[in-house]
Amino acid sequence: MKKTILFCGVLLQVAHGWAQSERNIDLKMYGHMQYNMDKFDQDKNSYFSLGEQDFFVTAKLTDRISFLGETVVKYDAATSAKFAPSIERAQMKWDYFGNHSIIMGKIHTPVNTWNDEYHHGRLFFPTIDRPLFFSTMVPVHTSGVSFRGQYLGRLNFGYDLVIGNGISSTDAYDASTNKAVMAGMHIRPDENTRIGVSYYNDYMPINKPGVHSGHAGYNSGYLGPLNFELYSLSIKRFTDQYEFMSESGYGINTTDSLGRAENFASFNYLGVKVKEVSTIYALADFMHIADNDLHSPRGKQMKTAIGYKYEFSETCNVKFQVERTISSDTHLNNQGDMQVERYDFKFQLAYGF
Amino acid sequence: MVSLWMFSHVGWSQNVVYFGQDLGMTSMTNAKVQRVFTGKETLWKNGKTVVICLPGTKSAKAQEVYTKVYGKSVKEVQKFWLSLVFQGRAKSPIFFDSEQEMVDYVKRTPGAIGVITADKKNLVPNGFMVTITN
Repeated sequence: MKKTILFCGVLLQVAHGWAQSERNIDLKMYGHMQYNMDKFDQDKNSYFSLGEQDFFVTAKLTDRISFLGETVVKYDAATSAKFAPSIERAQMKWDYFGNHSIIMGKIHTPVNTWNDEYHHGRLFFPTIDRPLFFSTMVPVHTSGVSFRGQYLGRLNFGYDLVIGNGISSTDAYDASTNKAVMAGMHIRPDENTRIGVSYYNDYMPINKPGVHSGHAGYNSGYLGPLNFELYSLSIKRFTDQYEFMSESGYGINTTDSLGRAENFASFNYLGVKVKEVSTIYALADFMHIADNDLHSPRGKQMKTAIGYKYEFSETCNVKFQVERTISSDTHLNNQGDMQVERYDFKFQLAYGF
Repeated sequence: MVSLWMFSHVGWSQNVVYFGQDLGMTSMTNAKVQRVFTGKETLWKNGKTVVICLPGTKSAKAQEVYTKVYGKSVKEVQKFWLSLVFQGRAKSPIFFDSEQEMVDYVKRTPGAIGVITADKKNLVPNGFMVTITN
C-alpha cells in the first residue's frame, strides 16, 4: 500500500511541477467510490468499495506530436497491498495532415462508442457499469498503431484502422507474429449524434485470454488455435432533453474442434433529462455466448435496470441504480446451467478535476 | 512569417470578437468558427496547430461569451471539453481569467484563436481584426 501511495504522490508532484512550469502539460484525476447491496441466490451483501483512481495526463511535445496517458490505481487482490497501478492508455499521436493522425501505444480499441469515449472515466459513464459484453466479447485494449481520421466532410465522418497485439498478448510481449486488426468508421451528422460500425479480428494460434481483453479472468482450458471476430454497431444520441445509446456486438469465435460459435450482445440505454442536472434512465443489457464457444464463458445474461443521475457540477455526479440480472452464465453463478436471479442496488459517486 | 488577424463577429454569435495569430486565412465563415471552437479542426491550412483560447470559469465574462459562442452554460461547455480531451480527440483549450491575459497569449502564439466580448475589443492591437462572414 505504501508503494502505491508513494507512486501516486510522486506522479502528482511531478505532473504538478510540469503543469506549473509549462502550459502544454495538463494533469487531471478521475475516480469513483461505490456502495453495493445485492441479493444473489441465498446470499446477501452490503458493502462500500473504493473504485478506480485514474491519473490522466496530456502533453503537447511539438506542434503536431502529443502524448496522452491514463494510469489507473485499482483494487487488485493478487497484490499484498490490494491496490496496484495499471497503465490503461499511453499513446503518442502525430497529426500529420488536417484531421488525420497516427497513434502509437496502448489505446482503447475503438470498436464502439463506449470504449472509444468513456474509457475508465466513471464521470462520463451514463450508467454505473459498462455493458455486459465488455466482460466477454470486447477487446478493450490494443497495443499497436492506429490510423485515425475525424470530423471529415459534412457528416463529420471518422475512421480508425488499428493494427496491434492481439487478445492473448501482454503489454510488453505478444507470442504470436499474427497481429490483430480493427477497422471502424462513424459519422456525427450533428453535435448530438454518433453512429458507428466496426470489425475486429484476431487469429490466436493459442487461445489464451490476456490483459487486452476484458475477460482476462476466464480460461476454458482450450489451448488450440482460435479465430476471434467481432462486428459492432453503435448508435448514440444525447440531446438536452433525452439520451439514447445502443451498443451491439456480434462475435464469431471459430475453432477446429467445435467449429463456429456465434455470440450476440446488445446494450440499450434511454435517459430522460428532467432538469439540466437530473437524468432518469433505464437500461436493458443482453448477452448470449454460444455453448460451443471456447474463448468466453458460455451462457446468457439479461440485465434490466432503472437509475437516476444527479450532476453537482461538470466534475462530480452521483448515480443510483436498481438492477435485476438473470443469468445462466457459469462465470457469474457458478452453478452450471441453472438460471439464477440477482438483484442489486448500487450507488456511485464519480468525480474528475 | 507571423501574420495577425482579428475577427469581429456577426451572425453566428453577435457581441463577441475573435482574434488570432498566424491562422493562414484572412477571413472565416460562421461554420468554420463553429467547427474550430467545438474541437473539429486540428490544424490550420498553414499547418499551425489550432489553439483555442476561452475565458476561464473565474472570468466575469465567461457566461456571456459561452452563451454567444456555444449557446450553453459554463458547466455544459466545461463538461463538453473535459469529455472531448479525455477521449483524446482534441487538445484542451487554454482558459484565461482576464481578457488581457488572453490577448497577450494569442499575440505570442502562432495558431492561437481567442474570443472576448465586443466591449473589450480595444484590448486587441490593430491588425488582428477581421470580419467573420456568413
